[in-house]
Amino acid sequence: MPPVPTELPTVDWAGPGDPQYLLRPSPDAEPFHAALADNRLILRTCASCSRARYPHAPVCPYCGSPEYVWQEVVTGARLLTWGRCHLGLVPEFPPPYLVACALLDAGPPMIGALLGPGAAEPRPGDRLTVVAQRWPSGVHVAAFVDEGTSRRTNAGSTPSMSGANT
Amino acid sequence: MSAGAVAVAGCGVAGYGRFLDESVASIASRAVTAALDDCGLERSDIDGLFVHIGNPRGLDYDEVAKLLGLQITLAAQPWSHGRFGATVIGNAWMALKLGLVDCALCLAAWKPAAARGGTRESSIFDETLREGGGPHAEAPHAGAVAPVFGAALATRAYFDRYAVDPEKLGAVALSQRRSALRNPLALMHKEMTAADYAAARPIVEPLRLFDCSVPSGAGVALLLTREDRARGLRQAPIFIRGFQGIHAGPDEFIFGQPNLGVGTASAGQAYVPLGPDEPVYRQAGIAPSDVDLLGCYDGFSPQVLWTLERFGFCDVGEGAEWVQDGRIDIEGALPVNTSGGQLSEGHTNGWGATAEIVAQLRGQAGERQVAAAAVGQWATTLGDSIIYATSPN
Repeated sequence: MPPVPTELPTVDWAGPGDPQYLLRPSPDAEPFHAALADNRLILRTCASCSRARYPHAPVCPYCGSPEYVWQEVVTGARLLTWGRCHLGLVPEFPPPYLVACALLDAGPPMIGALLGPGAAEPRPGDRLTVVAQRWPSGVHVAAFVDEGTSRRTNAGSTPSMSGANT
Repeated sequence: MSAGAVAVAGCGVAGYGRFLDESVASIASRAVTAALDDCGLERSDIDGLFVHIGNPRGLDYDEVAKLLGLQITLAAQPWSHGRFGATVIGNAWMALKLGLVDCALCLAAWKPAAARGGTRESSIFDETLREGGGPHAEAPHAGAVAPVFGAALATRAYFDRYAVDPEKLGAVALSQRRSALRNPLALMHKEMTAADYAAARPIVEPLRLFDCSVPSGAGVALLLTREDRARGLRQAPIFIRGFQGIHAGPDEFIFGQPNLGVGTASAGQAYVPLGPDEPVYRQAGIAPSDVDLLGCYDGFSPQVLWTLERFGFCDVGEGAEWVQDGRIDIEGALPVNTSGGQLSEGHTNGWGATAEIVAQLRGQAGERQVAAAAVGQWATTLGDSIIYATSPN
């Protein structure tokens, strides 16, 4: 039995301004952002091999099938890598800020902002939660929260991979 | 099909830098005139035009032909990204092999954008909002608006996956700076110590300032012909012995190895590069151990490690250890980016390294000359490669 998806927390945009010009969802991405506004994480999932994918491609990157369904998936993720930016490139993101690439428990890797207390000192393997970040314009994007708890509870061991690859 | 090997007959370099007071047309013209003078071909000999960086930083092919007085019967121009340098030369090579043209001009001439990539004012900002994500895994909604983010994320993933000591990465930038000190055209002329490297400000951690290339404009022209024509000219022909193109797919990413998870659909699967079995080696009839010098795309320093691993110079995950102790210096076992590369000569979209391979194989590299250089290879993280040699077979 795949894990039951839990409701996606919403986190309000805490930065300056509104970064709405930094998102231009194609029609393929619109259901994803609409679901985030509804506190759900959905991904295109292959009707043939059952693997979820990101970005929202018409064809499965794993088996090549063009048949898919949008499926609600679990919100956990595991931190693969991150970067701490020291450049002020756009006014909405004053440095320093963190960008993460995480492996979703639902399958694919995804890049997003890294938020939360654990973002002060991230470690590969940190347990993350996907959240819906609500921008002032009303747009919702996916971001990651690192509560910083997985290191204390799993000190010296690999974080739990339970729930991976539904 | 037209028989015969294809060679670089002429090479012209207008220089590198910001070119504040010069038009792109003037930069291009100086490079083309230098290439014609270099080999003795006439402007009217040129019938194929292969342009690398077009508008808005450079000239498009039609502008080049109009403004430089060229009569062209076959023109081609890829997407204006640095990754396509070898593809431009490869397309010219194919057109010559097929007999579609007799003399191909490969031209790279542009000025750096006034606004830095990553800012809204940058002419290339819009690309980060493509349907499939930015060309370097940019994710603007997360503030990842410039190429360096994808490179930084991939670098840390690589360090973690192969338990690489991050301090060892500095050997790449340090080696290339040592070479640049012997190159009058290089933009970075200041000696750099390991302490200087380590003290440099972080850009996007784990990458520091000197892990990032130096923004630059460039003007480089190559003239390619078939062997019979190239033989009678001023310079010894430098033969193109093999070419393979850019690889692309769900698990390819410009700034990382396949399957690292950054800019790829998968993460964590075993990565087994073809290494010495890459088709370019079979075409050229050589092995990696025959390569006298390597040029590779170094927008960011870890790309050098990934290229060495992809093309079989060392094992996967061993690149950082392998480049220690001067191994990639001009006097090392495998000289890499001997002009200083994009990290120190300037971000020439690979053309500085290509001009350097030509100069080295001709024995014209002066203070930087690699002893008895007969085979030079261009290769990138994305899998494209050209093998150049003094001999046609």
